[in-house]
Amino acid sequence: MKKQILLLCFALISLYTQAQITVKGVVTSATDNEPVIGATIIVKGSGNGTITDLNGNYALSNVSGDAILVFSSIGFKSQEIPVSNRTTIDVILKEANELLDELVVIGYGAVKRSDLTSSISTVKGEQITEVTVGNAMDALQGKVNGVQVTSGGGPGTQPKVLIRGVTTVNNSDPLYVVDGMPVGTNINFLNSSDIESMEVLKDASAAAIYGTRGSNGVILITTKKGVSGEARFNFSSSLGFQTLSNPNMAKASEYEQVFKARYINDDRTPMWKGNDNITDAESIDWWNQVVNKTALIQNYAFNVSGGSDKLIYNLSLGYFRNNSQYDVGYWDKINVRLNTEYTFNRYVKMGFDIAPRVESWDDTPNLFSSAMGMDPTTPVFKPEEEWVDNGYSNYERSRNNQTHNPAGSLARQNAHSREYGVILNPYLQLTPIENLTLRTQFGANAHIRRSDSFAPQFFIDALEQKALNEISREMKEWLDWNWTNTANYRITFADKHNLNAMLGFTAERFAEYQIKASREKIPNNSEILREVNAGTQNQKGEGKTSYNTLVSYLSRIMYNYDNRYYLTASLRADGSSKFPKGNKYGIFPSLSAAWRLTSESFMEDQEFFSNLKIRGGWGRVGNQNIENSAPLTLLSQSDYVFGLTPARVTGTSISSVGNTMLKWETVEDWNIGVDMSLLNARMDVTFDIYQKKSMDMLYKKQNIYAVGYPDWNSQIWMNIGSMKASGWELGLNWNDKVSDISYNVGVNLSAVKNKAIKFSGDGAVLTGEFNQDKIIRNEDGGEISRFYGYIADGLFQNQREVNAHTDEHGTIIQEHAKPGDIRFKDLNHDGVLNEKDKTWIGNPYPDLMLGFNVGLNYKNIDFRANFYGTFGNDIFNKSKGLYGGTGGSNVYAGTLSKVWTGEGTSNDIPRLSVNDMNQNYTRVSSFYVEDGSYMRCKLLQIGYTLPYKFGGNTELRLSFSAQNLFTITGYSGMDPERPQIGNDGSVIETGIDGIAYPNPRTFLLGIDFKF
Amino acid sequence: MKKKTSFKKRKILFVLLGSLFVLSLSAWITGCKDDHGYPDVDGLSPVLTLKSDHIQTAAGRSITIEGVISDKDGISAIKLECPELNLDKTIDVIEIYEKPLETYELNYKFNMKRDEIRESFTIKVTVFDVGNRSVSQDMLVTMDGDFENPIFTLSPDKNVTVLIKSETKFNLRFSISDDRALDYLMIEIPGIEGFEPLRLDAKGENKFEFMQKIILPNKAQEYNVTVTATDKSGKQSIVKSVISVSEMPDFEKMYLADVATTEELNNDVFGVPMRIERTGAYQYKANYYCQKAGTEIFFLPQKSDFSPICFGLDPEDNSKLTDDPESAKPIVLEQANIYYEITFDTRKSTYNIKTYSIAEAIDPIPHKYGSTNLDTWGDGGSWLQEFYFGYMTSKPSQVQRFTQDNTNSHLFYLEEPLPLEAGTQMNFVIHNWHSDNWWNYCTWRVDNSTDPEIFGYYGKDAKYTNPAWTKPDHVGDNWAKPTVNVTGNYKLIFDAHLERAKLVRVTK
Repeated sequence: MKKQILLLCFALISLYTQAQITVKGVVTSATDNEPVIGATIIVKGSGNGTITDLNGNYALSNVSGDAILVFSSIGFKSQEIPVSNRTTIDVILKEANELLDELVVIGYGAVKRSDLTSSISTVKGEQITEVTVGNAMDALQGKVNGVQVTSGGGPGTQPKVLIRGVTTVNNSDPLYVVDGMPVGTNINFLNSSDIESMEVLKDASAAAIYGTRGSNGVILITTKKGVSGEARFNFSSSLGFQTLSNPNMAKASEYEQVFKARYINDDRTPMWKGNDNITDAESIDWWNQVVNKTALIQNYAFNVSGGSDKLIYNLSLGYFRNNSQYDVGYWDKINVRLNTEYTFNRYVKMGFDIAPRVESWDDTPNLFSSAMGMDPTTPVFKPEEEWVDNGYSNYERSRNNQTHNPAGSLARQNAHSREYGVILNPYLQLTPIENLTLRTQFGANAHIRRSDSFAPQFFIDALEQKALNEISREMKEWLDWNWTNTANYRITFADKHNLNAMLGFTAERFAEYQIKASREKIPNNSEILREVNAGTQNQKGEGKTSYNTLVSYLSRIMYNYDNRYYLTASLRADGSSKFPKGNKYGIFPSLSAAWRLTSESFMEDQEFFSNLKIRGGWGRVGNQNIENSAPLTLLSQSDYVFGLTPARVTGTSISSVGNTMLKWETVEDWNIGVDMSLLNARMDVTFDIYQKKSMDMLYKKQNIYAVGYPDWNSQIWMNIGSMKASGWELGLNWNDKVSDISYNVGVNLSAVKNKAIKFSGDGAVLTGEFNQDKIIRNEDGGEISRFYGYIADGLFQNQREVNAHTDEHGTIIQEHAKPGDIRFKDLNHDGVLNEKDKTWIGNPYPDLMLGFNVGLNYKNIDFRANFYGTFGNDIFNKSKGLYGGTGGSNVYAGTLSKVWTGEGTSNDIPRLSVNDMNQNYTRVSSFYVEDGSYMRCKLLQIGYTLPYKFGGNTELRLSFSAQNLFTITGYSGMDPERPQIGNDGSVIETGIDGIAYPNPRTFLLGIDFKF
Repeated sequence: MKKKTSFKKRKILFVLLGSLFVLSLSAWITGCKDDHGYPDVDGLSPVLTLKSDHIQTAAGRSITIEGVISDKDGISAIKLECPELNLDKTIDVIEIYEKPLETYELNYKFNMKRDEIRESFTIKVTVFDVGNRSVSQDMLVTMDGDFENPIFTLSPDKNVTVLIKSETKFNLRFSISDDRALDYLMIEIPGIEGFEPLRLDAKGENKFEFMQKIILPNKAQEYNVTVTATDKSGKQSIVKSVISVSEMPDFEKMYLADVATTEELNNDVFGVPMRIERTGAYQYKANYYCQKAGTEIFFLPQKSDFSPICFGLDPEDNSKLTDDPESAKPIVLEQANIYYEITFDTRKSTYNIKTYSIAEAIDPIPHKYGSTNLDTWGDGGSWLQEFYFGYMTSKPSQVQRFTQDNTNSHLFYLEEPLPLEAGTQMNFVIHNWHSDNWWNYCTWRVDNSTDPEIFGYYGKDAKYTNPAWTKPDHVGDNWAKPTVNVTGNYKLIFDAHLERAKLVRVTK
């Protein structure tokens, strides 16, 4: 037996010895055939390597016959070449400049990057998948200049994406186009691992080819396609957890002291319910009661691709799940995608993409606010002797405030949805003659969603109860299709004239079908009875169909002379069903030009620039994000009270007033930019300045009362507004290699000012509710979404200061003020604090956005770090009101030491007061406004590729990532980023922190396995 | 040589002139500019002329600092200082007017504290000009101003009936107070033979009490009584009363007094004695909740005094009533925590007493007090709020909650007394609380705003009324607006069954 083992060992050693060979060769430059000196050659996945000598020669020993060699040198594009038992491998390296020859997807076509005349940014798939997120756009944060991505916490939360600011109030989301098919304004459904690249069309000269829907920019997403060759498998997964910081609310004893102090300070007897001198041991930490310390996040992706000369395929399977920080609330999706393409012959090619998916989610409740404000002296449940069979009724009622028991609310949360969808994208491509390509593509995006909800009957207290349980089911179906037909012809004549012309026709239809039924009073809360049929009263049903269509004619011509002078012009005509006869069609032209200086003879002798291009563009794009029925005057059911013995009767009245003069909202945009590549292509610089201005902005204007419509608030869509965004972008990227360390550093800086030139002419648009007042004032001629209120000028420290707060004639400005209250500025010195004393107190839009990305590779170790931050933006922090204990609410821990308790104790947090006669906490004032600037570590990732091979070209990489690991900010709220999403993404109501789901800190372990 | 000299002179002259120009320019630019960047005109200090350097005032009153200021360089700020008054005000003229002013009329009002006890203060008025030159002047403020009229804390009713007796008499009784010092009083009752206008010296006291029996002729006649109080600064208050001498009249109003002294009768803002119901000619019905066994009551046709008419038990025949305040004995209510109903006839002098329990008494309140049954939207209960009511001066969300009596569910009171100043005109109703300020729930309004006696239920909608309560709205939509005569803390007590409330002064 020992002999056998010994023989086997010898055999293995012999085999090993036989497999180790020495590889040699010469490395030359593709540009001039000169040898490349100092080029690095390493065995992939090992530390074994060498460099070329003065003649470009190299020799590398101890190389496995099935190894892969990596050839790299500064200024050249790296190459990976399988050894395949060869002992001589000569390599021609292409200059990095040739990266400029990579194809960039543009609308209805692709061009070489060097031929671009407009502002388009590209993000590769691997840059997206390095971050584990549900929506691929979250991964773009800080990576694309001019694209402001604001992430929201919580499963399935759609990030807010603004491309180069805001020029409309009618949905500022960009248009997403997946493999040539417009899919709307949300790509939650898309598996990030399926993305090959994303192209962001930022200026109108690029986006005008999408005409009606290009005004907010267009994001073109290309999914992964197969590559001829052997099948390659790839499995990756990341698994981790998310955490949220505990906001640290007061415990019972401090709460009691604060509660009572509010009364005592106002000479009132505290209306305290419960034992006096309660101890912290009796305190309930409501945050920990309802918010879990961790929430699971997981992502798995499997992919196989390959093909032959005729057929290429790419099949992927993905699963993503993100739990909420509560016991309920999650979002998961299963994605399958099969992209195939079959080449029949040199004339005919056909492809078929199919991507079915299933998404499921439980609605995530928003209980952060109630968990923070709940009375900590209240136990979670009533005493057991009071329990009843209905468990929902056994929760305790808050003793000292009106906050609903968050644990009870969480238990009652019951709303879930499931969505089944499929995207089909077949196409046929003909090349009847050389250089002419005809393509027809019919895409369909169909999905069905079922949403169920159940609200149980319960009785905790008369103020916290639901007398009748209620159940509902809603079915929605979307069926969108588009048919795209293009003809593309490219020709080079007289050697230096390059022409590319495209003509196209598209037709699209977007339809939505909805039905909903609900009933109340199901016999009990039992799960088995949670069916609409089980409801016994208040039966309701509703349903509707809504659709719109679009037909478009498009054309584009691209010309360049000798790769030096470039000119692109496009023209698109769109006809939309959303607009009335006579105004259905809009025309959207664009023109752009570029001059590549490095192609000029006078630049031949310099080596500083490897690329220098100046470009400029102008274009017009449109926006049609209005209701399908906007031009129609509609009738609907309405009730009215008639008679001497008043009785309600059901009738019909005009519910919305149509405008038969509506037309497109148009955005005119110009852009000037420069692209540079310096220092042997180690440094890339891109700089753009731009301005976008909307005209005929669609806006709902107040109807004149004289028209006599029954609803005095009836508004009518009109082409009446105008907005302007102007800004700049600077991108700096550095790539280099020092010894075994290759690294890249990228800095993206951008700034944009968003200005409303005109809304409706009805006066300022006020948004953001706050104690029957508004926080935000959008005024013609001013920047949008600015906070407008009183200036809090510190606190009155003593009676002397209170007495001194008068006008010049001694009129007391704040008659109820006492020392410790906020001093509000009487700006017009009239002795009265009123609307005239309000002013601009904050701007939620940042002055500067900064992305900072670092990548580093050392042998088998790779490291990534992404930072993103905004500067100069303000936040209206409603949660600061938690220092006041308004309505008996709990307060932040340490409130007693932070509030004003005597002269010099505080100049920020006012005295505790139950009456708050000075309106410290109820006025819209700068007291609530904080600097929202922040810099956040979005990603910190370290990866290690195992040097071992498991046979063939297998590769195993392990990684550890931390997302949102830390944030540098002076903001006192939970998350400085979340408020920028605004109210449902509204651009004119943003920057208010109402304690929404913050961005969690995420820790992930990842595995990538290729074979 | 001469030419050379001439050139040299011209050169020197040019240099001198040039230097002078540069110096002038630099002086103009930098030399005489103040901190604000305004150039001096005459460089003199401001001139301050106060309208008066002595102001007499009193606690709770305001003073006005007046004067005229001038400064050709420009006035930048005025500072008013008095540490004892917590006055430290800077009027920043440049900030207000965005430029310095050459003249400024100072007119600054300052409120003295209500509880100020110091006798005098010195306010320092300092004016600064743009060159930071200043001038100061002191102003003396003394607390010896007299601003209040004398107040009648006790006075005869506007209409007093005196019954013709063997000796027809009327006890004239009044009490007066003044914030400073009373000078004299005049009493005039024309038509009474032998009663000359009476002038009484108050001797500079701040209180004066008077009582005198006045014998009237035994014939039906009316007399006008005028009492005038004058203080040391000449401020006057006048009370007028009509005394009707007659046989027993059919009184329109009758009151129940459950207090023993005249002082207690006048210790309220309203509600004491308690108005009772007139059921017919000479016939009255009094409903009363007896909280304490042995409570003694009388019935009065006037409110401020037990004389000249007081209905009580006839000492010679307990089954009868007498109207003579000197001989009338109180009706003693023996049982506590029970409602009494007393009916009587003033002409026949008969009376009858019966009782009924708290449970038998009904009130109009629609919901159990403190329960969560208030239908917020009136839609059948989609949102229920806690139901309670109380003292309300502004809106339903600002109700000062009543406490319900532990024994008598119809009885409510404010836990905390109301601090009220003399001369204050109140303005309130009793209303239920509502977070959204809805008004159409249960509310009690009064019969007479300035002299409230009945708090009638004013639930406009039947669904907000206890179905057992059938009494219609009977007082109208009147808010209670009585005037407070004496500063103090007052307890508000309300009986929803009786529809009566009283506001009585208490020692906190």
